[in-house]
Amino acid sequence: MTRFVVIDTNVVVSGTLRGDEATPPKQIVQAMIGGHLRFLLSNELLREYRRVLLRPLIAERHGLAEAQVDALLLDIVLGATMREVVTVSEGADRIGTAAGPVPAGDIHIAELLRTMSGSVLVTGDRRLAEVVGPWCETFSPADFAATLPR
Amino acid sequence: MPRLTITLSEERQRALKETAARRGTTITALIDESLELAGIRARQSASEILAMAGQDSGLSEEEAMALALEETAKVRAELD
Repeated sequence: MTRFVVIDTNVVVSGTLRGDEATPPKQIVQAMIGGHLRFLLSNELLREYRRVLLRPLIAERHGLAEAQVDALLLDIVLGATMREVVTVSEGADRIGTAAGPVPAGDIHIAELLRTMSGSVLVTGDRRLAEVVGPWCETFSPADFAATLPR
Repeated sequence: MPRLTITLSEERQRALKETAARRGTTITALIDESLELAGIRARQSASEILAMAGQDSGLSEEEAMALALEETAKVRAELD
């Protein structure tokens, strides 16, 4: 059975920051919009993708207009399996692990992973990977891109 | 441009013709517009946008990820 993945925001964003198609994050985003990946998405994570993609420092580097960002996100949504996630403020304690509690800003990622048993996380954030690692398999963008069909 | 044959009920086909005539447009344009509204878009467009993105960023792979992490952290810090 193919597992579902959660693609962290840093992967989607860094995928837009380089023109080189061989860059692992770009290959992952291409798989998302091309329908070659089974991935989970929540409204909260989608909003975060958009917020970060439109931050001035990021927008200046990827060079896309707001409408282009929205067009890209629309195709990401079309390929996604949307999940309802309820993030609560005390969630950090509830989903804390031996590696420490999940920081409040990352709880929506942990909650999304929890909506589908066996789902995995792709992230460039080593700290987050360490925190969720005890109960969820994690991949760096490079390692995950290497598993994508050519 | 490729052609596609679809089967519609007589009522739907009549309504389609009437609407096209009323709006002064073609059945093809109406169907194309409806598909767009239904979110059925050409896959190529998002791929093209992605291909364009970051062409002139001047960032290495490591720098791109570092910037993405930094800016994501700022957004998440607002929730902490």
